[in-house]
Amino acid sequence: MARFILRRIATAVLVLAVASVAVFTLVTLAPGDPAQIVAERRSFGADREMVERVRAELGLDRPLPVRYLDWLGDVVRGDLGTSLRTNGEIWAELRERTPTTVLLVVGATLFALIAGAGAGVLGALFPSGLHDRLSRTAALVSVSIPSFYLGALLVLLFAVTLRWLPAEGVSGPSSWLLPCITLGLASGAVLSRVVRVGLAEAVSSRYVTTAISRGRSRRMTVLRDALPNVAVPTLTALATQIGVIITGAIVIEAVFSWQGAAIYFLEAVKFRDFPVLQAWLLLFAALFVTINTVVDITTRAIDPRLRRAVAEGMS
Amino acid sequence: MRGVLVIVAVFALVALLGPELAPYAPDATDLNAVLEGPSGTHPLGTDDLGRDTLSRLLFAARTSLTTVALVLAGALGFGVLVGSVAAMRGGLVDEVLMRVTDVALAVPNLVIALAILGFLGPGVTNMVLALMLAAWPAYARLSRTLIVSVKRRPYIEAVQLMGARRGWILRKHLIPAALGPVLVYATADAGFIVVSVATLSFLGLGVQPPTPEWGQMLVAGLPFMETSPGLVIYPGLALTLLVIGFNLAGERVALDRVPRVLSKRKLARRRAEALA
Repeated sequence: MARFILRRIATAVLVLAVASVAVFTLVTLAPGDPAQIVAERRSFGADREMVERVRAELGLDRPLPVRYLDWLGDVVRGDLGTSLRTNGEIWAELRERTPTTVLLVVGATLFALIAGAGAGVLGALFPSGLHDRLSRTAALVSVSIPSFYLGALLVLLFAVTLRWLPAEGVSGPSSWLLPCITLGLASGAVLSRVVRVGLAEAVSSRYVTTAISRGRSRRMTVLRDALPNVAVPTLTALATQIGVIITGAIVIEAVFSWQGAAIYFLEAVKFRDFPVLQAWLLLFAALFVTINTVVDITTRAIDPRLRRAVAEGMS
Repeated sequence: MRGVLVIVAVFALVALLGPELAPYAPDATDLNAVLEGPSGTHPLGTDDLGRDTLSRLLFAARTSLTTVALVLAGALGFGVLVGSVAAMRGGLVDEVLMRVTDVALAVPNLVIALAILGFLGPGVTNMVLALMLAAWPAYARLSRTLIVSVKRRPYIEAVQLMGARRGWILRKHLIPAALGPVLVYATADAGFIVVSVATLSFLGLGVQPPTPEWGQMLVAGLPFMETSPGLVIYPGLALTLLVIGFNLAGERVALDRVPRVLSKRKLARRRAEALA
């Protein structure tokens, strides 16, 4: 197990190194001369001499590998540079905006997990043709409907027509509800299918038949014996869904006018704010690699079958 | 199956004939009929510039389907090209190309597309390019796996022994064999790309204002949601229906490729035929 964890972490570091080179290269390949852009911003109609001075000041006249290592050194020390748009420290601006996004992502994930697992378990406890057909249709619609449309419809119903909930902004729990539901619904639908299918498989297996024949009720068997076996596929699906949810947060923050870290990225895209883009992409890569690594290690830890397979096969 | 075909066919028809069916030009403004509800002259009402909503929805179908077709064609073409090179060359080339697709596949497509748009700037052309660049790795991966597995079959070895060149084998045997599953994947991918195009346009990075597009129509309608909810409801509805159509089609095509277990009656008939 320890060996597996070490190897998994080594791979993660390697992938991150590749990602950092990719992000750095992308920025240097981008059309437009950053020295020119910055000089233009400082004084309108900057001449060649001023552009060159800015270039030397930003260190853009040095060879690429040196600039890469320099940038990486700064990043590791927690200096992500300054935004071209706001002239503020990127690290400080991100730190200020991150709690909002964390709230949104955690809320949406919890909603997806509770609603998804709940629907899946209910479907397994009370199996019926109609119920299954309904839940499949609901899952298809939830996966197909674009999140910004779902958000707009919910706002139209609950904020504009019924006036129960605020339409936008962050102001207490009632304002969290619509964004988190909008963001989590599609993932919830995916999870409900994973739980439902997993439980159906488990119910038809022999250990469940044995438990029932020994006199335990069907409901108890599903909850006590079958459900833990569905945990691993559910967790794996949840890990991919967290990625989907984090990406979706960009759109949701735009729909509900939340000033989070995700919309910070979108603003950088719109204004072609390269330092912010660079910082954001790198953090994003780090986040994804971390999630994947943690999930890989946890699934090994909670499922003895996988652990044994690793011991026999891989190492 | 029939329902699925109907949805996709209706949209294809609308995209082809939309401009002929539309009662008005998509950019014809009428400042005497601003933000009107449904009426005989404007079946789905008008927007804040007095443009006919129905006509704009019909024209938007064409915008959506052409951009999606372009993205899919580009991603599929480039992906299969890279996949073929990796499969045929093998060794270091294969290794490097596949590690590149690994990293690209680990990052969500929307994030890749947004990053590329951040470097290129917004607009339809850049959006199509960005979505292609985000989508191709999956096609490269899939086609490489398929080509490698077909390449090992005895009939390919036989063709090789007959003196066929590698390029010819790739064109005549390997790519056609790989194309089926790749097209199945593309069908499922289409719904996702429809949403991506609409989302990027909703965010103001894709199709730009005068051209009608569902995501962009929806975002333009948001300020008038209270008085004219139709400006938000209709574009989203058209979009969702198209995505459902593509998703069902993808599911259906994938199922059709799985060999079906013969029904009892068919089995009996086969047996009878074999005995006769």
